[in-house]
Amino acid sequence: MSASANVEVNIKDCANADPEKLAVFEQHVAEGGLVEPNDWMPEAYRTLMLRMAEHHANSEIVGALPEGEWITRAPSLLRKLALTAKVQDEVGHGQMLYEVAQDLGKTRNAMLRDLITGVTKYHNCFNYPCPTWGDICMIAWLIDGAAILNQGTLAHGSFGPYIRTMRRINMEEAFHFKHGEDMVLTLMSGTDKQKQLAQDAFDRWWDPSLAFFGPNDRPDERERPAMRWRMKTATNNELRQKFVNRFAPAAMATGLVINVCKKDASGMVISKEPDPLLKLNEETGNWDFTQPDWDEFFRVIRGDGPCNKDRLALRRFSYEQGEWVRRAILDGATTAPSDH
Amino acid sequence: MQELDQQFHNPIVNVLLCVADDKLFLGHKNSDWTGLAPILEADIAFSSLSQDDIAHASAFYELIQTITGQNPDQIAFSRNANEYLCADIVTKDDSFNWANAIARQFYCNVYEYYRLQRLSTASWTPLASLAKRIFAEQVIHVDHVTSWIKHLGKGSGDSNSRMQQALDTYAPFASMLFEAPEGIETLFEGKIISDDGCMFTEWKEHVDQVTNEAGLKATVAPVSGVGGRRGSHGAEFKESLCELQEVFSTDPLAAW
Amino acid sequence: MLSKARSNLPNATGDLSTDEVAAFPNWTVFTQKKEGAIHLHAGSLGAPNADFAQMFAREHYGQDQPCSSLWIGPREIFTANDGVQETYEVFVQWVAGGRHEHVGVVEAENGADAKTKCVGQFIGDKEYHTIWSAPNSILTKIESATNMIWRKTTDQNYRLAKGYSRVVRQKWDAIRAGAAVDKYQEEDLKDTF
Repeated sequence: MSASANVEVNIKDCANADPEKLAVFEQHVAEGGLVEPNDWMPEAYRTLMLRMAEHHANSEIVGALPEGEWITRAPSLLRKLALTAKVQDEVGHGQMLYEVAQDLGKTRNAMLRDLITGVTKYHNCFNYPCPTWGDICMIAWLIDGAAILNQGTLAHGSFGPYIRTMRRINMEEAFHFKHGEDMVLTLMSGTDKQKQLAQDAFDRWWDPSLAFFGPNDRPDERERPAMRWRMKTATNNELRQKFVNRFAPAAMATGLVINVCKKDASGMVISKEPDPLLKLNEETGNWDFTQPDWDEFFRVIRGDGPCNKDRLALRRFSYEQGEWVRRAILDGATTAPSDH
Repeated sequence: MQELDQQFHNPIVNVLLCVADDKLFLGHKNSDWTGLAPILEADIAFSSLSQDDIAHASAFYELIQTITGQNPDQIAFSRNANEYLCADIVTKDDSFNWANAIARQFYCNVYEYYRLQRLSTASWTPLASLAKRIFAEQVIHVDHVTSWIKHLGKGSGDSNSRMQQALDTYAPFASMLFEAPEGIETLFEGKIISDDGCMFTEWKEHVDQVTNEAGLKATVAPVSGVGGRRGSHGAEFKESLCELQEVFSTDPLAAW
Repeated sequence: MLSKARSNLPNATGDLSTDEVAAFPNWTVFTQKKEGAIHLHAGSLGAPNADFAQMFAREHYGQDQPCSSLWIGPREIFTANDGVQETYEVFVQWVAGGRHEHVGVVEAENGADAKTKCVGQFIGDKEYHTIWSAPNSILTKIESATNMIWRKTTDQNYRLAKGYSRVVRQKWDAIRAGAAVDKYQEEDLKDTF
């Protein structure tokens, strides 16, 4: 599972930047030019890029937790191998993105500590529960499907190290998505019980998938730094629409019903009805759909979601349990053999 | 494929299950670390090794399939507890203590190294060739865990004592790796596989050499009693098996 | 049930109870996809020493696609301009956003000299963005032919998108055919057929 990098930052302005350099920089980026770490960049660009990479990295390693819970329960040898590899990839993506962020000026330890103490955030969709194997299938299909759409555009961004990483990540994300598609199709061509498992999980994950792309666009979206400097190349709403256009008809073709659901505080569905707005709009060529519950979205982002505490507790446990190991091999590095 | 005389079928299946079940459950326990290991890079590496083990288990189940006709997932997921032939060390819980995971990995990996070496000389060629191929990867596993033992043993007083404690905790279970599977004498007599009477000695020497160099000690007695190789398992194995079968057993006939 | 260890976690306390461990040194990794191909910059990693760096590189950058060779070195040596007389591997990033690729070796006095010689021998008048050089003696080189990197023993398709393409297509075909049949049978009189 991977994540969108919708980081809210207020870049006050670039008042301190040399106006001539800034003009050259902005033109370079506007014309499709790329920026490398040692090139001149406005401080605000560096800050924003650091936060974006850090948020993305945080999301990867927190995203590894809900799926990681199911590795030991995967129901076939192939699924067990694939799910382990997928979660491993997520850790790998986190590692590579922390490297990108680190080069922009923040150590990995500082980032890991800020994550577990709640100073920095990770993607909201990982605060929802993953109570069945069906959720594993839907996460891989929907959330990784959403991530591919998003990261496909991020790979056309302006910061060299980030887009190099994004290209590598997308290659692995394609495996996650295909594997997810395979699992969903397997359930939907299986027994009635399996279809129910899939539908229940789909009901839990459709909304977080729509919200995955972040809140609705602001009127000045394209003027904000992330887009002006080509860190993002598509708006949240554009990506969300693209996602619905692709996944709504596919889900229905498999026999899944797209519902608008009410959930309780633990993230479980308490009532549902088929999305009344869902249809292909002949005029626009887009699928119309009901917006996700944005009030709930912002509540979960503020920390009051079904799983926020569990995710951070597990991440913290891992960090604290590993402390003696990191210390030991660092201390021993000078004395231990380097050529065993 | 080279035909195997009927009288050897059950004994060879037992031997193959010992390897496959050890690998499956070691991989199963280690894969649970994915996302939680002490260092991101170490996490990725350890997960990679756990995938190897599960893939190796699959390959051995496939070889069993050539004899019994059962498909690998059915073999891996649908037996009763007393039909699994792994040694219980592979499912001995590590409580997410890295020293425990490394101690378990060390004892098991070095054992597997010698077992695969032995099986590579089997006169039944399908087994010999599979063991030989897997052995090439087992070498990486042994190198990897050896590095960890050495670095943690020599790292600091604290890491040395944590590592020592873990080696001590797992030592009694390590002995049981060497328990003989049922019918193995038939395979020795029929010259299908060579007698591994000295495997414990070889393994012990290897383990001692590494631990000595790391400033650690492995106190492992020779095997005694009845255990996993004969299907007799403790509570921790059964917990792991429950987890393994949780989803599968909701509908064992369904495709997943 | 969650695995036992995951289900019994201690509660988080306030601040972290221990001092931060210092960061590990950083290592740069180059990979070669198959024998004869050029070595391309794969990424970087943190590790306390060369031993761990090669272990980590093998299982991380060496496993996400076939890999026949890995080169690993402390990151600072690639950009350093000092050093002693020896053989240097030289790497060129032709455009911003691109990956550094290995172009060859030069005999040089130090890092700066290696970069200058790289321009002379491998770049000429062509445009490029940056050059890295690394003293051969400091790089750890692993060749898969003698020291396995990418696992060839078992089928690795489970971790590649292409491993699923065929079966996914088959399943879609079956589902679509099923739906079409349902449509076709919609008007059937259940009692009669």
